[in-house]
Amino acid sequence: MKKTYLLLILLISIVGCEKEEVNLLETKGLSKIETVSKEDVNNFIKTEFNSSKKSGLTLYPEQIYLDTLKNSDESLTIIPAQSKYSNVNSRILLLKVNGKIKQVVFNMISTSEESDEFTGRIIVTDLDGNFLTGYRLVENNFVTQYVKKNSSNKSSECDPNYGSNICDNMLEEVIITTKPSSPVMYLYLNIDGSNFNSFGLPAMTEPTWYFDGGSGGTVSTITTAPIKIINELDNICASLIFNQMYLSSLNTKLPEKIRNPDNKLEVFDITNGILALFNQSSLFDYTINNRYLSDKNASTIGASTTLSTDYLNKATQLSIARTMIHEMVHAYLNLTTANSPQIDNTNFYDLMMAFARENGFNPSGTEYERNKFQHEFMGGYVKAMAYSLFKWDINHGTRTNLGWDYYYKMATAGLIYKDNNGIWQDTDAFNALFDEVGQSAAKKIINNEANNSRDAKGSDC
Amino acid sequence: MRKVLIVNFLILFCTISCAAQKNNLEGKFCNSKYTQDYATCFEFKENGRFSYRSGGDMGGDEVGSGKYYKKDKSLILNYEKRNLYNLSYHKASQSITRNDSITYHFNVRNLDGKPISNTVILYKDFSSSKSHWFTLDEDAEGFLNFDRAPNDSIEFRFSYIGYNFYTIELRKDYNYYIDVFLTKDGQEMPIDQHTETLEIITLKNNFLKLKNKKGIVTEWFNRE
Repeated sequence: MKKTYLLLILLISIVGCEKEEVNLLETKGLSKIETVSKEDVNNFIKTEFNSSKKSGLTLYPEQIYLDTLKNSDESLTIIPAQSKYSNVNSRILLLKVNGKIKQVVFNMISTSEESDEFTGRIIVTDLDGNFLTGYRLVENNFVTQYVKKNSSNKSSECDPNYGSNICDNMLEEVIITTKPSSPVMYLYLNIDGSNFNSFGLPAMTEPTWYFDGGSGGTVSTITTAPIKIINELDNICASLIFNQMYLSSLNTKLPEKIRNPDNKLEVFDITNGILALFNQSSLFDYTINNRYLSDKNASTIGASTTLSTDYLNKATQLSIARTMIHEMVHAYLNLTTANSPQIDNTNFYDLMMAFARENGFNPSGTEYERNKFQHEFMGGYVKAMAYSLFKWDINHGTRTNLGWDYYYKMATAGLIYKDNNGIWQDTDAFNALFDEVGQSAAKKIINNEANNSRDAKGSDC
Repeated sequence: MRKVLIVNFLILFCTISCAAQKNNLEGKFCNSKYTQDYATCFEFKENGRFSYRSGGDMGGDEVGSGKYYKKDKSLILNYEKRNLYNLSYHKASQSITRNDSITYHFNVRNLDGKPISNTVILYKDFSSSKSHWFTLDEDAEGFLNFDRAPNDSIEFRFSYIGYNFYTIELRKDYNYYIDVFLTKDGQEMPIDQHTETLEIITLKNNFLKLKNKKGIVTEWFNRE
């Protein structure tokens, strides 16, 4: 099935403050576009070749070709090129806009050869290698957009995967969560299955370019990838933490099976598995947001998590990350209990039910009955949650190893239930994990991080 | 001059200290000093009104409000009437069939009447004790056929993430037309109108200790 994706549109707005003369796509008003003539192409190569050399590009003028711009009578001129990085597939795109030749360098960097569908990065630069825009794709889906940081320290060593003189610390990734609305859709790219499977000049296959607009400024309707993970957090720090977890889940395959919570469970990154599940499901979305919650730190109804704004304002990043992980597990258990046939995990459902039967829980009862069941059941997944937290922390949080015991204790937070007298109690699962000293130590760590007290080890948010 | 400064400082300190360590009920008292994945809190206001909320991280908070007053060592809470919580329900009709098989027709909606697409039905035939899954279509409609067996019955559980589960049991004797209406998860659960008297064991330094009729003692911390 063909999937159509917006690509270079945002270039227009992003590049607004950059060098205007290098914009391939100027935009507002949808100026007149024309195919670049042979003469203009030759002149471009003569005059610009030197500058392109600066960015390490070798052009292949003998392989120049025109590519159809669908929905238009004009064509896009493509000059195959090779950067100094062997894993980067580059080309220069030329188009005449309002009588001026506009050009960009289009770099494709595959990070996976396992599938016929393209997984990797697309980075668009000017001829000097200055970053204009970029995207990360997973199996042909545009999942994140690279955005240049306002300020960054250019390190001496660049990540060659970007295919230009762009360094990792110069870019941020932003999840593409909503359909673009107001910007005028102008030129976009169609990615079709195996097109991106092979790389290397000159035998590469090409994407199809679409022109959408014409003179006058029509706003097109473009189908973007289905929105599966919806980040509506307006707390920037919390939003970043969630994005970091989400991004690390993108290349994750679901665990073949999730084993019975019997403490023989292999440690795996449960967050990755859960986010990958929602991302791959065509029926179910996971939403996370924040708002005022009376006095608790979070709530998950169905597959929608709400974090307390007050809590986000005072907790450490580590505490927020652990709460996100805990709530994502609730969403996963909610989904499994209600809709397991549609996510193909009835086996896991059967394991849940067996656990419930043996221990006298009601997984499909009232909120309090389900709360008790899920928090008891979660006791078998503390290692997996701790591993998710550990992995996030060493990559994004403190960037140091706080010790397995610290993450493990953090992961036991929230294993509580409300008894028949309306009193919140620790679950049997929590009590079984530690002796009394350990329980007390775990609670202290959890509270320190939740309140960012003097003894907290997590970073400020 | 120095003495005046010291006296002023002591007065200021006392004022701040007394304000911070009030010994009255006004304010918010929760059963934990810290923000947790759960909370149970009273909020007592100057005008003699209070509110109560208790909930975990899966919603369904218990909520109540009304008037309160202290009498000797008792705290009297008069909970007022609140809007009731609407439960899931179903409407069923039936027709006689002369065939050897019967049909159950399903239609599942939320309480506003909007179809809940792809609702899952888990059904258990008591004759075999085996469970099976069935998924309704995008219009939240579907049907299932069974052999007619008037002495047997079958249990259907309707579920969709974000909605309460709903279970019904029907005999395998007639054709049935079943409209199910599901309540959303996580809605507040009102506490009914009633009066509750609690014994105040301790009320000082932003700390409240109460005992209910069952003799259960609870501790509450001022969270303001």
